[in-house]
Parts: sequence; structure tokens; C-alpha cells
Amino acid sequence: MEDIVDRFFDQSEEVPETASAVRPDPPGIEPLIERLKQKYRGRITGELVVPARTGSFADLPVDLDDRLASALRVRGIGRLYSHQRQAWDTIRSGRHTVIVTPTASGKTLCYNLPVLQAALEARAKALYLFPTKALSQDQVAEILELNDAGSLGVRAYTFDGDTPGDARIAVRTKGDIVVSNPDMLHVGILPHHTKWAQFFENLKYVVIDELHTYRGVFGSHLANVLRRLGRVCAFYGVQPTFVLCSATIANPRELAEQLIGAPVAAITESGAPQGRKHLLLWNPPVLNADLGLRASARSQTTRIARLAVRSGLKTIVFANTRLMVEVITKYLKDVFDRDPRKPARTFAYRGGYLPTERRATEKKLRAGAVDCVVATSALELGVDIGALDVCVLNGYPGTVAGTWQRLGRVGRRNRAALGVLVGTSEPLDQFIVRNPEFFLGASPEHARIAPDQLLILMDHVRCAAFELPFRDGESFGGEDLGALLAYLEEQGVVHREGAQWHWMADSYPANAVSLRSVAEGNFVVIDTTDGKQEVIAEVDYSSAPMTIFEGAIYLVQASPWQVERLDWEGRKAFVTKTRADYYTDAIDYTRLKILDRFDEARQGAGTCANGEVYLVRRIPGYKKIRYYTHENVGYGNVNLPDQELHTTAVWWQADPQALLAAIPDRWQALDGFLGAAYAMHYIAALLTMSERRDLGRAVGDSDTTWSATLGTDGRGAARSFDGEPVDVAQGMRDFRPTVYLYDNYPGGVGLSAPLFDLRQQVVEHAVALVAGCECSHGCPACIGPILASDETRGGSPKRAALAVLDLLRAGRSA
Amino acid sequence: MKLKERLALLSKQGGAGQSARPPASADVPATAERLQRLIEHSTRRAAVRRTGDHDLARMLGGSSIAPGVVVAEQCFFRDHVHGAEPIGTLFETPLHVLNEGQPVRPWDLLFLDTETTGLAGGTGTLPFVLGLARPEPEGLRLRQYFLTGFGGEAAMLEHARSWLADATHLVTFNGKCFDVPLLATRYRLLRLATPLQSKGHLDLLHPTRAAFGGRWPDCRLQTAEQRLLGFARENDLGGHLVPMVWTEFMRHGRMDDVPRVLEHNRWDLVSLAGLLSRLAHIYGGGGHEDADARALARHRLRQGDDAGALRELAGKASSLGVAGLLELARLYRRRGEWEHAVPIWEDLAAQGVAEALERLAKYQEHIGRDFAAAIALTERLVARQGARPEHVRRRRRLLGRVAEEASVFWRIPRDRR
Repeated sequence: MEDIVDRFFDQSEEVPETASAVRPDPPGIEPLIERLKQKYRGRITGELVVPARTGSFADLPVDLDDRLASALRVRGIGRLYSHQRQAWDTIRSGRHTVIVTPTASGKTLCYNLPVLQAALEARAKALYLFPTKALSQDQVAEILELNDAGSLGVRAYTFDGDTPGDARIAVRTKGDIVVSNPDMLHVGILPHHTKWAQFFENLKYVVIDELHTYRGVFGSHLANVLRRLGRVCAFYGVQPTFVLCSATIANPRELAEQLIGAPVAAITESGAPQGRKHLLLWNPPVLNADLGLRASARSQTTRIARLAVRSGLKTIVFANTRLMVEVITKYLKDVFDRDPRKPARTFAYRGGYLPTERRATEKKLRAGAVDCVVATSALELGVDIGALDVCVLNGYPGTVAGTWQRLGRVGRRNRAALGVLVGTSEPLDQFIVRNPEFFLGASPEHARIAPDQLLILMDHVRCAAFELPFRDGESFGGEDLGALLAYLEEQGVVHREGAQWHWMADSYPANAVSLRSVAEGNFVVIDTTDGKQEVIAEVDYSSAPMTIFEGAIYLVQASPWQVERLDWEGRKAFVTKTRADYYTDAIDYTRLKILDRFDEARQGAGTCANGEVYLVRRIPGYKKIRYYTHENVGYGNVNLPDQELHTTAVWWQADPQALLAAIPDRWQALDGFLGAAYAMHYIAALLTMSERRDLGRAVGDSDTTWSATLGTDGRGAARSFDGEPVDVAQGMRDFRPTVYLYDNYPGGVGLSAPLFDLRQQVVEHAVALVAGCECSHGCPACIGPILASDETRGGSPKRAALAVLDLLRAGRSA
Repeated sequence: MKLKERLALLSKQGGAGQSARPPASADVPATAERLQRLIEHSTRRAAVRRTGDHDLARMLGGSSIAPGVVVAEQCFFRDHVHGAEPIGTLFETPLHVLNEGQPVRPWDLLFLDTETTGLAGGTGTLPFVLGLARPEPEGLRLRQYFLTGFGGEAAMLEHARSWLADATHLVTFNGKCFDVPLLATRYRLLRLATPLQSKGHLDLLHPTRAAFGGRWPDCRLQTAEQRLLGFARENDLGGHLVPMVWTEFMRHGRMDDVPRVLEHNRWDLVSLAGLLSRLAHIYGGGGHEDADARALARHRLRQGDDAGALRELAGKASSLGVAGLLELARLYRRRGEWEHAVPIWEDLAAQGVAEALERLAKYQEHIGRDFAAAIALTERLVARQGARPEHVRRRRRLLGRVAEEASVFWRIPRDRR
């Protein structure tokens, strides 16, 4: 409640700054910055101060309903920010609108005002879609506050999986504003649209907040869900206006237009005031210059977080993996939560925890009962977590947009805030912290979706056919709908009669389609300690093989559980509490086969091609890694089904003669390809503006006789089809190592085609990355980790990688 | 690669989100073969379409009322005996007990049952058989619609409108959750006004489940008709096979099993009528050996019939179980019949049933006025449940009463004690 009031006060410059005096002011960030600079001058590679900005205001619209205007005044809002007023004008003119503004700039009012006005004027209805349930609940609370302030009589309800059966009828028939999520629209609303007839007949606005989260697979699914929504709306004779809100990305308008399939007006200038922001780029100190080895980002992150918390500043730490969240939480808890009699002050927050646990942590955050929270991107979205002062990023989040989004979680309103971006030894991180001017001047990335990705499209053609029969001549997406329907008829799920295609299967297709992940069926983690049977976490299908294999140490709030048994079919992992002083890390390798070439081009002394591939990923075992020392204390075997993937890829090959001339030794050539692939993978992720895990990489030959992987020792090894080691130096007539970069999703998500177009830059930038690295023979920051033995072996993997990249480089004479 | 081939390839992948889909490509024949089959089907289908409706109507003893829909009518006269239940009973049994006590006449009713392409619900589920039955002076008249194409649905719904409109009450088995919302959806999808609004609805699943749930292996219509009407279907087409008959008919023009679908639906409708009178008899005081007396009693209570409820329970006192006995004792207590209530509590208290102990304690405190006994009972309660606040309060109060009595006792002159 207090937060909501705060949020409204936030944007009202009439409220004096002392309004926040109810809470004692924290000490401020300046002493901490001074201390860091004094003590660690050499580690700070860049500094940016984003000055405080004053607001730009506009009057309340004259046609604003009096009740609404007075509700605003009750909440301390006498005028609007300029972007809120601009949004009002655009939306009221009936144009689809996308609003791009930073965190805490009062964007919700941009859509709440026209929606509430329409509800008051004509009992028009609105559908709000948020990516998560938690955000939905925040939103309804906010609307109800405004509603009560003005006695507006507008009814707003959440509708999601938690809505009880008897409340659903009221939501459908009485709700003026229904707040839901894409999954519920997909599985609960559209397939039952006749029950929502009253709602659809009066639907005037569809609001889609957190637009930037709808990229890649999720975004491609949502675009199709919206195509289905469009069909249903047409059936009820309405054409709702879409209002979309996004954090800063490069192409909000393009993304919005792709999602809703119609032209969209963009509002990009925020009129909201902003507190000063201080950003430090931090590179861990070099431990071994020869190897380019630096101290771990983790050690730096925990150090900065400790200093911040000790200075009395509320701190959030973002880590890029769930595992790292657990490790950092443990290290911080070891410092701050050692006394079990006192309530804990340090918390972890990540996907995979049960919703109740996450809600509890959010509540503690808002109440100010948390000194430090360690989170994955799960906290990147607009979940209300109150005011924080310091944000430490353990590693570059992978995108400029994601970085600002995370930094935006601290220092709302008039308080200055500090962000520290700690580079890991990964290439992108090193690139960013070594070239501060690049990051500080970089524009944020493009969000890309592929709504016509065939499997996704097909899923939604099924769902759409279930909802309303297709007519001849109708279109749905960019593919030939007739061919898709003919395929479905062959499968016996639709039936053509006259000019229509009717659903004719005994199934509910939406249930079989998950918008968020590739595969169906999350795994549940069940604690069986002392005969219990308690679900303690969920793991999605795609990460299960890497995290809950038998023998794995699974961490929840930094407490270790050991996986005793994995029921793959039943999607269950049985764990018991343990006291292990190590954690586990899975080893995986991939083999790959080219199915089809779409495109091929000469490049340097080789070729680059784009096409369809089939790959199999196997996880043969795992490493046990001791806490703190990070030494390898053992291995275990993993026995899991192979993960198969049909997808699109781009690959680079060198001409055999040229390769032989450049690197006569095949082992060295292999090292060179692995190193080049490592660098190219990072550059490709950067250039396609995707997250690195959206792309996979592999090195092998083109007819699956062998594939090379990073072995348990961190170096490349070639393996045969069966996983047996292969000696590449002998008994192999044709040696054509190939670098593959593939879409990490069945059927591809549209990354390979742009990557093929960018094939020259990929190699050029990789050369710059490797050549510019300070290490002598290769390091995790350029071509991947190497061992000392590599040097003593005589060859330099770094030199080999550069030689390979040089072969693949355009402009080189063949 | 062609679209179709790309799709086939991608769908082949396991573990990647396709497992819940129809088995597609495990044994997909060559494209040419598939095309061939497809062409065969479409020609055969076209042939069916041209002559099928009339052939089928003749086969079903019905008529074709519009392209794509065949209707068959039939009357079960009052003397027809379904299982052991004559149809005529329906006209003689008071039905208000199943209608929240409100009177309802046979002529107000319409029995309704659909056969659908699936059980999932939602807009993609089609009722391809709509079976209706209504009581008329000479007996029960059935009207069954069968769709021979999607295009016949609108005509079916329009034709059914008059019977639906005439009835004030629908009678179904699980129709509140399934058949009626489904029909409402179909009217809506075809942009037709719905005749289903503001009607009474007797969904016989609910009284069946209340009385027999937990006593029978399940509460399906066919279980109920066997056990309550003594009706056994012979050679019935299993409900799970029904959708398949229709898809076979639609795809390949196979008609062989279509009469069995209608027969299946016909038995459902006639059983509905039989069950209605049977359940009305059971709930109206007739009872049934399998029935849960508590459910029948609760039903009586809801209708304000305490005496009836008491009769239901008292008649089965020997087999009621603890909760049933407590309910019976509660009813006696409400009527002030302590002489019946107390022995029940005493029996239960001897078994250590907490509620019985508490009831007895209250009885002894307020009616029996045997405070010492009430204290003893309260002690037993504390021993069972711990020192709950209400027990502690009662004990304190009772001790006070005892002390008070004692002091009164001592104030009385010795010679008058």
C-alpha cells in the first residue's frame, strides 16, 4: 500500500523532497564510491555519471473525466509527465501505441488513464497482459487504488491459473479490466472465447506491458497468440487498440508491429525526473599475466556487495545463472547470516523457486527487511521490490538493454544510486570492461522474433482451428495456410468441408503448447529427506539434464540437496539434504549433421553456409567442484537420454589445402578451430543481439564422423559418433573441421539467416577480439580456457585460432 | 524442402514439445501414397455427401431435414419397461424433491444428452448427436439429431429450438458442466440466439453422487441405470468409441456403426427418464439399500423437513458410522428428544469421540445439571484434546457451580438438610 502511494507521489513534483523523510535516509552512496576508488583504483576501468534529470510536464487533458481527474488529485497528481500526456492523445485517437520509457517513469498511467476513461464513458473493456502473475497482481492493486480514490466503480480482476473456478464467471461477465498473462490468454481464454463473448464484444484496449520480454521463442509464440486474438475479436466485430510498453530496446516500434501485425505509433521521450546514477565498470585484477588469468568476478562481486551492505546500503546482486546466484548467496550468507537466531538478511531470488517462496522474498524486500538480494534476471522485470541503493552485476548480462534494465532496479526517484558492472573472464565481459566507451556509448539491442517459425506457427494454427473454423482465403502468418491445414487434415485433426476447415480431434490443442519453453513438462524436485515427500523446486525441461542428473548437487537458497534418483519419464527428481562441500557442473558434447544447405558463399580461403542441421547433445558426466578453492574433486557418470535438435545453423569451413599450408599439425588446427569458434560464438551473440544461450556452437566435420568438444580438462578433444576419442592426426583422409553456430531451438528461431548475412563481421570482430587480448597463448577472455600444458606442448592455441580466423576472413586472397 | 516435409521432419523430434500431439509420423507412408489416399477419401466423401443423408435417414428410420442433418423420432409408450422401471412411473412420481421443493410437472421437462467429438470442452468440441426426449400424454417422445456434416449444425440447432423453448426444466446427467455450456457455445459460434437461458436444470449426476458416491465404484450413468433401474445394455457401443465412429463416417463415409451411436444415445435418454423418477422416489422417502442415509437426510434438511431427515437416519441407525450418529443425535437434540440423543452420545463417548463427550458435557451442565459428571467429561476432553480455552472455561464455570451449590448446601440449617 505504502509503495503504491509512493509510486504515485513519485511523479508529482508538488510533493516536497522531504516526503521520503518517513523512512530514515540511507547514508548515501558517495562514501562507498570514494572508498572503492581509493582502494581499488586499478580495477575501475570506466565511470559514468548519469546526471539527475528534471521532469517535463503537461496539463491534465481537458476531456479527462472529472472523477478520474479528482482521483488523480487525491493521489497528489495535478499534472502529467509529457510522455503520459502524449500517450493519452495518441491512444485516444485510436492508434496502436508503444511507449518506451525508463523504470519508474509512471508508464502505467499512460495506459490506465485512457482505459479507465473508456470504462467510465462507455463501459468499454480492456485486457492487460503481463509476462508474470506477480506483475498482474501489482497492477490490479494499483488500478484499485486509483479506483477507490475517485469512487470510479471500475472493476479490475486478475485472471490466471490461481483464479478460483467460482470467481471466473464474475471476471468474465463483470470485469472492466481483466489482467492476465499470455499463457492464460492462450490456454484459458481464447479456446473458451464464447464464454467471454460479453467481454470481447466490448473490448476496446489490449495492453501489453514489458514488451521487451517478448523476444525469441516467447515473443514468437505471443505474436501467434495475438493473431488468434485478432481472429476472435473479428468474430465479435471489434478492433481493439493495442497499447504496448517497453523498457529501452533499439526497435520497440518494429517489435510491437511484428507482434500485433499492424502499424504502431511510438512514444520514446520520457518526461519523468530521474535521480543521479553512478556507474562503475570493474575488471578483476590480473593474477597471472601469462595466462591472462584474472581473479573471479564472483570474488569481486561478493567483496563489493559486502562493502555496500556494511555501509548500510540496500544492495541487489544480479548473476547470470541460477548456480551463480546460489554460490554468491552462500558466500554472503556465510558473512551476514551466520547467527541462526537472527532473521536472515540475505536472500536468493531466481526462477525455479516455488511461487510462495518468491512472493515471501518480494514482501520482505518491500518491507526493507532485506540487506542484500541475489537474483537472476527473474527480478529484472517490474516486480515491485522497493527502493535499493546499489546494484552489482556479476558479469555482463549479455545485452545493453538488459544491463540498463537491471541497473534501473536501484535508485528510483530522487536518490542517487550506484551500479557496478563486474566483468567476468568471458570475452564479451572483457570486451565491455576494457572498452568502456563502447558500452557507455552503445545503443541498446534489437529484440527479434520469428512468428513464422514453422513449429510455433503450426502449434498456433492448431489452436486457432480449434477456436474458429478457418475459411478458404484466410491467412495466418506468412506461410501458406492452405498447406498447413492440408497437413493437419492428413494428421486427422482438421476436416475440410465446403470452404471451411473444422477442428475434428478429441483434444484441446492449447494444452500441448507451452509459450515459454521448447518442451513440455517441468521437472519437480522432491525432498525425500527423512521420509518426506515435499516439492521444493521446479526445473524446466531444457535445463533438467544439466542440473538434476543423478548425483548432482542441487542448490536452493544456497543449501545443498543431492539428487538421489531422476525419474525422467515422470519428470521428478528425488533429492535428500546433504552437507557436500562441493557443487556439480555437467559436461556436455554435441554431434551434428548437415541436412540441407539454403545458401553458401566463398569467404577467404573457405566457405560459409547456412542451412538445416540435426544435432544430438549428450551429457556423459559431471565434475565435482569444491567451494572456495574451486578445485576439481571428482567426476561422476550421467546416464540420460540424448537431447535431439533439428535446427538452422551457419557454418564456416576452410579449404583443406589452405588449412594444411597454414597449420600443418591437425591437433593444432583443431585447437585453432575450437578457439575461433569460442570467439565467434560471442561475437555472433553480440551481433545478432541475442542471448548467448539462444545460439549453440559446435566444432566437427560435416558428416558426423567426429566432433570436437571442450573436454573435462578444458581442451578440445575429437570424438567419434559413439563418443569414443578419435585421433585426428592419423587415419583420417579428409580433415575438414567446421565451426557451427546454430539456433538453440527446434526449427530455429530466425537467428541463422541474419548471422549468415553478418558472416564477414563475425570473423572480423573475432579477429579483433582475439588479437586485442593481452594474454600470450589464449585465455577465457578470447579463445577459451587453456592449460599450461598447451604451452609446453609447443603450439600456441591463440596463434592457431588467429590462423584459422585469418583463413575464414573475407578479403584474403584464396 | 517443401513445407510438408519440413513439418514432418520437425515433428519427428522427441522431447521437444510434441509428445502430447497426435502420433503423427511414427509410420508415415510415402507422400505419393498419402496423396493417393487423400484423393480417394475426398472422392469417396463426395459420393457419400451426395446420397448419404437420405440413405442414412432411411437406415435410422428418420428423415433428412436439411443438408448435413438427419433427425429420427421415436416414442416410448407409458407401458414400456426400461430395466425394471416402467416409463409411466415418471408421470406418477412427485418430482419436487429433486427441484428444491418446487413443484414441477412432467410436461415442463426436456431430457437432453449429446454425443460429442471430444470431452475437452472449449470451442473446438462439436455435438454431432443431440438427443432430446420429452414427456407427452402417450409416453416419452425422443428426437435425435445426427450431423452428417459441419454444415448441418445450424439447421439442427434451429430445429431443436422449439422443444428447448417449450421446456422450463432440462434434465441431464452432468449437463450443468458439460452438455448445456457446450450447446450455449454452439449457438454462440453460429451467431444464433440461445434458447437455453433462465431454465431450471435437474442434473441427475449430483443427487446420484450425493447418495451413492463412495458406495459404488463410480457414478456414471451406466452404473446408475444398472443398479437403480436394473437395466443392462447389450452390445453397447462404449462411450469412448463414439467420437471415432463419427470421424470414420466423416472421413471415409463409414456408416455401419452410426445406428449404434444413436442407440447409445437413446438408452442414455430413456435411462435419464427412468432415473429421474427413481431418484425422486429414493429422495422422497423411498430410500435405497445402497444409499448414504446422511445424504438423503441432508437433502431433507435443506428442504426444511427435519422429521423426514430424522426418519432417514433413524431407519439406518445401525449402519450410520460416527458422523451419521452424531447427526442423528443432533436432530434428536433439536427436537428436545434427550432420551434418544443421550444414549447415542454415551455410546460414542465410550469410544472416545470428542464431539460426543462435549455434547454430553453440555447436556449434563445445562439439562441434566449433574455438574460433577460434566466436570468428569470435561476432564476426559482435556485429556484427549489438551487444555483448549473452551474446555478450560467450561471447567472453571462448572467448578464455580459446584462451589455455589456447596455453599448453598452449608447455608441451609442442619435440621433441614
